[in-house]
Amino acid sequence: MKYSKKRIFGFSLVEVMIAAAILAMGSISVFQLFTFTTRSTRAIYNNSVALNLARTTLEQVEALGASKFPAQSASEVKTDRNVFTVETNISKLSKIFSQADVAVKYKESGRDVKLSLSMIVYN
Amino acid sequence: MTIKKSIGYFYKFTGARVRFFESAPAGRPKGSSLLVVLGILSVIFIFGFGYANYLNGQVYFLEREKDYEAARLIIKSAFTETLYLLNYDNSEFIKKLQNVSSQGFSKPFDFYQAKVEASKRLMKKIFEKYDNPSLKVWLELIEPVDFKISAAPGEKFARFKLHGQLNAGIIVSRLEYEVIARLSKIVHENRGPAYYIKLTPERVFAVIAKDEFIGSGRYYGICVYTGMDQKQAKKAALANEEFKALLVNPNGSVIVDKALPTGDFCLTFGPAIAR
Repeated sequence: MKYSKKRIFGFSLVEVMIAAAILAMGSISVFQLFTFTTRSTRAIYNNSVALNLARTTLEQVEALGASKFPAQSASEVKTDRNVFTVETNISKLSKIFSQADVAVKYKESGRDVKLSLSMIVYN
Repeated sequence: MTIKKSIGYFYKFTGARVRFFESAPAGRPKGSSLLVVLGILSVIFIFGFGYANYLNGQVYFLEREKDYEAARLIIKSAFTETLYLLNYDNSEFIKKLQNVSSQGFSKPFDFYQAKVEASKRLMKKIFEKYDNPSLKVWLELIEPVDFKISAAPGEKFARFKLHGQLNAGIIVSRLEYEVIARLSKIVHENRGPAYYIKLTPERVFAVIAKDEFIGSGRYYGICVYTGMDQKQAKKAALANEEFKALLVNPNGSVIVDKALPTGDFCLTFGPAIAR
């Protein structure tokens, strides 16, 4: 194989273009990964807050008894990043038990998300 | 040699020259760094996609976390329902307890399976997206103490593990609590025309001083009334549907008997404690 002196010390245009294309593809993937990570972190944060709100509300209903709570109630909880609406609905199952449903609603990337939990508690 | 051959083929097809560890002699082509770039990018891609995949998994499980929490709450509901049923409607349970001795007991791992209908309905509603969700609550007898060797006559204690398991496809949740059951024989003492209940501090479920508490709470077992107005206490006990206890004066004379007909026995459960 014989090479000219010019070719020995440089990159060909094709090589540079291929490398640039691969690098661009890689960069796009990496930036997409950043977006995905940000979105995931936000989703994880919202989900954790909503889950905790639902859980603590149900524990309150359980500790006090369903009869101490209004049949339907709603409250708003604001955090640094989002606003959560906690809706409690208590329906009587029998003379002894009630079903407590807690729904936590919030917005994520412009869409409405609802997380709901239920539990059977004493009246 | 194999690496050199591979590099040769790589050059043949791509036109890029690659050098790995040996330094290029003078006059020899130094080659392209394309393969090195490709190598670095491969590493970035592998780790990048690996991390993306990991995050995707995290989000997936986070979405399931809500279902796991729902499952846990349903099992807790089932425990509430079980203890209620055992405290208020326990003739079957009492029969089982009576036949148990400390020497040997049969089927200790599944002593009693509770019929938790309300919790099952709730589970079916919440887990309708999963196939065949099932909920099981059972009591496992750990250590019984029978009547003869118990401290007070006519007393039986039994420690139980309260198990709850919800199974709905990929969601499997299990809780384990511990609870102590106390079976007391109600001992009557005849003193003149009225009959009295023999009281020991341990067998008294509640001591109630005010009538309004009688009217608003859930009571079972033996309850002692220490207030002043017995007539009012009786009225309040009769009006409260959840008062299913034997209400007595501190001397043991009966004010009202609303306990369920479970023979001469009185069964009470302590609080269920998570283990």
